[in-house]
Amino acid sequence: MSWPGFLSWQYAWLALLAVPLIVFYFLKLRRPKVRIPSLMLWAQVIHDQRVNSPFQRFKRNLLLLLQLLLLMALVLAAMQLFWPLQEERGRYLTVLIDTSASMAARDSVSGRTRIELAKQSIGKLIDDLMADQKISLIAVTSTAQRLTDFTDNKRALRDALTQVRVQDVPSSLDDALRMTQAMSRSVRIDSVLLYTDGNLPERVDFELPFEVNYQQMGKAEPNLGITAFTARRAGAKAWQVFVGIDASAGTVSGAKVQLRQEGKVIAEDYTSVKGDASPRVMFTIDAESAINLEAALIPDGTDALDSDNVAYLQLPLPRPLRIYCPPEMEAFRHALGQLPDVEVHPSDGVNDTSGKYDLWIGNTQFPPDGLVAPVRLVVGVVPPPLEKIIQLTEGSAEVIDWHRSSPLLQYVQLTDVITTDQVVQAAGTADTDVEQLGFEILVHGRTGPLLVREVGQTYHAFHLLFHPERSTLVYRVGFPILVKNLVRAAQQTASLSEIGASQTGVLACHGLEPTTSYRVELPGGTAASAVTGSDGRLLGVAAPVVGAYTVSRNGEQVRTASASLLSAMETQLVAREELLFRETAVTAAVDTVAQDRPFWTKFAWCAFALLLLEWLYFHRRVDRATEAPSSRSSTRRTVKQTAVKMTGIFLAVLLANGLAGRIAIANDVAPDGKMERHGLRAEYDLTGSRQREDAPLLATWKVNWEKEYLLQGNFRIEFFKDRIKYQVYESDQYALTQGDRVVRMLLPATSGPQFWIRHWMHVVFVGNDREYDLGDFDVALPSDRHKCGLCRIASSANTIGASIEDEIARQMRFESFLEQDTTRQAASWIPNTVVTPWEFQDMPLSPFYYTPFDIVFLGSAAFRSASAKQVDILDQWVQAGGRLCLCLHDFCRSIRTPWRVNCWRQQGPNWSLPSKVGHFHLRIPPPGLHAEGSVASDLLS
Amino acid sequence: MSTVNATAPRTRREMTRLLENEALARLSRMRLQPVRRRTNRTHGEHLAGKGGVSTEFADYRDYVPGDDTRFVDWNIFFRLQRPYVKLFRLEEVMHVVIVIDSSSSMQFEDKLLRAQQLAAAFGVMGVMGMERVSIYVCGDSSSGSTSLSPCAGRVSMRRMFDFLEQEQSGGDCSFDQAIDKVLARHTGRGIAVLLSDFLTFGNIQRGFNMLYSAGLEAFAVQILGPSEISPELDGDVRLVDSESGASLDISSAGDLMGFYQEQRRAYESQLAAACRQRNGRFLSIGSHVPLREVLFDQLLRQGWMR
Repeated sequence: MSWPGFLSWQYAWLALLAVPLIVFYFLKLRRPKVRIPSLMLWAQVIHDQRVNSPFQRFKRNLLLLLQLLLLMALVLAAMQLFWPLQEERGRYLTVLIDTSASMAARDSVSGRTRIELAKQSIGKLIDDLMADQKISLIAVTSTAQRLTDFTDNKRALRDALTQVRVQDVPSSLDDALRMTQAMSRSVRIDSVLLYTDGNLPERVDFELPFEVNYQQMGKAEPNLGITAFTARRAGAKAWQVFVGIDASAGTVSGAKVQLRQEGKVIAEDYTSVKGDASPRVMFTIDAESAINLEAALIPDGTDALDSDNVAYLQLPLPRPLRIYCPPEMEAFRHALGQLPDVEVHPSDGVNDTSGKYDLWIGNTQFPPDGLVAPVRLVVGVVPPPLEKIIQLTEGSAEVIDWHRSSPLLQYVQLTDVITTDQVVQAAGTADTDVEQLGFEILVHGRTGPLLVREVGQTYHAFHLLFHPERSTLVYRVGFPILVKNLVRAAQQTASLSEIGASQTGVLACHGLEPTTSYRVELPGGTAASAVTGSDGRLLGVAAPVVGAYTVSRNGEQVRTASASLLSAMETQLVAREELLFRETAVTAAVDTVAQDRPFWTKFAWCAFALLLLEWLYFHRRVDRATEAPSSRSSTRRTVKQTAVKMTGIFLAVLLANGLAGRIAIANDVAPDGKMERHGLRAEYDLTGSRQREDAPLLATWKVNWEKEYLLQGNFRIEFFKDRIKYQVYESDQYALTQGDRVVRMLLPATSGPQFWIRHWMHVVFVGNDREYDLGDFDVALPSDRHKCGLCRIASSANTIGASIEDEIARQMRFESFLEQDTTRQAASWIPNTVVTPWEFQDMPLSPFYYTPFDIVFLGSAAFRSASAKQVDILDQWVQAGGRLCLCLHDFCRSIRTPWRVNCWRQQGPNWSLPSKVGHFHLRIPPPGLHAEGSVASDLLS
Repeated sequence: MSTVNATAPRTRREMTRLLENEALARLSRMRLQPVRRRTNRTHGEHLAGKGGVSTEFADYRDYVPGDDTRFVDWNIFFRLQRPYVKLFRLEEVMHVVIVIDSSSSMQFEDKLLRAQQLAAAFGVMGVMGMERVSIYVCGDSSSGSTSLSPCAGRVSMRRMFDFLEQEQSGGDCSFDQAIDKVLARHTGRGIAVLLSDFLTFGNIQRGFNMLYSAGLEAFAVQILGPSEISPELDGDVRLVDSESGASLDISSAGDLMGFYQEQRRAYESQLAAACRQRNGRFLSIGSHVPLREVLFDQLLRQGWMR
């Protein structure tokens, strides 16, 4: 049997208030006066010993009983009574919500979607959240998205839960678990709640450091869906279109498959699905131009999922493959000339080295200026990164082995191929060194690699390290096959031979202008801006829903891309009872999550009801016992008494609510209980803070920022109370803004009674010889005990002033890598900050390990010594929403990284930093304070 | 409860507003019946306790030399051959002192009116029985008592009614103070009819002792209001004394009703014992009880009158 527990035993002393309550009750009892002939008999009555016995005094004293009950209810509410239903209650609970496509399937029992059932369960979990517990919500799709930080703010949790939507993407647990693991570095996470339908990969390559409570949603109705939508060239102007259909287990149904173009049905077929069979429907269509196809599946019976009933495919314009091959490479040109649908350049004496080609075959390290080709074959040249370990010498070399499964070497026989160019690999180096430099060896020679493929680039590049015309390769049968494979790879890349529908997740859109900004309109009506890479591929546009995406530039539509679910696992609605992790397995829980049930709110309401009851009883007695007031003065007196009592009740309710609210909030702010000393505090949420028009604004420039910035520089902060400016600070501060709002800010040390005054401040950022008005905010500084208080001014979560130690320890974690001056600098920016230096080589190799950190400071030396892999990880983390603060010297400008190559561009005395990844509109080195300054960025794009 | 207004003007058919004519006629035929026949030397109609000369035979006794031979019963002598002397009762005048408590406590619930009615009833019986009736009204302790000088006979009836029908003001006079005032002015033996609620903090025993010493039998009538017999109080109240203005806080008054009744009954017993020990009578009535029932049922059955 479990007994009720209390979260705040320290409030048990409130029960001692019963003593003064009883004393004051009898001393200050408001008794109605009754005039009687004589007190003689009553005086004798109360002198009776029995009358004065304690029991007799309390007997049937309903008013006192009500007051004692009221006090008891308040005490129990303050002590936060709860009924334990868990054996061990973790303070930090991570809830993973599967929001993949299969969660939109309707439950066969309740008729509601699985995501609705999951949200209902999580809603109950939030309702029963204890005051010392915090929940972090993470949405799980093919990746993971943290919806909330660990918080006990039920409103924020409910808001985040309300905004959870199903995305038409497959699900994968890896990222979510790694994110949780990263979060467990800052807080102790014992258990993770996983709400999913079990439509997950059977095996998850992850070693669980915590317990996973697998809550499986209900069984879904039968489902049919399109899992493949491809097309293959069938002649010069014809395509064969294939539509693959899959079904959930046990489904026996028929379905009509329609092929639509511009909304019109151009082909139609009927197929039936039985069990595990996956029928494929083929259509042959004529296409003289680029067309957009839509495959629609219309099942005969019920269908659980709608998002997999439609798929989109863009068929490109039929054209020959454009190949640039220099005239001196006659063997290649001869082999290419035998292939159909191939256009070899230069031809007829025209040597046009600019323009777009599908394939470039050359004998120089880089293609000629202006020539763009997604597939490249470089012969007889060692690529620059390999020049240190590979050299070309005269001699003979022969092929030892080759990668037969490579598409380029398919059916290619390289036995007895001898070359007169000898590729020599430096002594003491191994093949792994070549791989670390970003190359995959496809053909091994006796003294070194003969054919390598460049990895990690936006183009496909093959490097034939020897010249084939100085080898026996051109006389072998394998040579035309090699060229044929190369052409096929180029055709596939150019989508000229085969093309398949794109899956949801990341929008696939090619062939746009390089490094150009585009606007993408999603099917739901939302829009996003994105920039193309150097290869014309649109980068970083999420495609969470099935449908057509419109790509436009300057208001003009330039392309239509599409995304389809096309996931057999999602369509089959696989429901795994058991998830296999590394060295362990997790079975779906039979029971729902047992959460401790808090009662303090009920006791608070009970206290309020008792208060009202006591008030009613008090008035009932007065009205009855006192002599009937007939005069007007008696009426006024009664009204006055009633007003006084109502005011008292109102104040008591305020006190009770304030007490309860403080309990709920204080745990969020200061788990160590330090904030208890500060008593009642005001909660302020300035997300929608008002701009006071009556305030004497000093600023002249209104900021107009769209994103988030880290500002470090001179701030002028003016504190007002009752429209009277009583303190002005001008100092070097730190602030984080979202738009034109200050989100977090270090406030200077203040002292005196203003800590208990709810005042407001006006913040002006000084830089670029201008003053940027950051607005007016209501603030309540947290404490006079600290030199400085980090004030989290606006957020969707609880925004409460906290001490610098607590807030930094909980909210912001600053990490500095390697360089001491950066560490000191970060510490100087954030006073009272405890910075833990990290060696840069110890930097995590997964972006999810950065999840608990809000800002990463990076110094010059550290950045200079960063490896490509580390920079790539940082890049991924930044792309995922992480914020990075760079502290760089001038000599770092030459460092090549994809996301800061444009960051530093000095313009006059100030820095203006347009960046392709961030919005470095503001770079203001504080005059005389920091020679290096800082870079503010929002890298959320 | 009677709705008589004592101060209202009388009609022509009424002798007094205090008593109905029917009750008045019946009362005029009734006489007070004292316990111990405390009379005065003055000859009257009331039989004295001792022997005397009158027409009322009392007893026989043996003749002793020196006796008046006129009182020898010669019929007995001739039958028994022994002389016996006839003894006769002495008829003397008896004082009837009516003391009315008109303090503030009597202003509640027509207690004073009932006291005036009873005083009128006792007075009628007294004057019609040729007793010397005097009435004292005691209210304020600072001033003296108003009184009706001793009177007797039918002719005094009108004067007595006029005195009783005067409006009486309240006061804080206690019982023993009232007795002191009465005995300071009264002489003569007889009975003292005490009409009060006896809810006083004074020394009750002292008052009764003084009456007994003065040769007055105490005929005490305690008049209580309905709220004193069965108070309707509950919860926490502050009781205010109507005479002294003193207050007393009572918590959970509803629970104290049992103790209150115990105390009230004990006080009644104490008053009854005090009267009985001094050859007096005691009766506790409620002001809401009809006057006819009090006079012709309770008082008559208890032998207060005949």
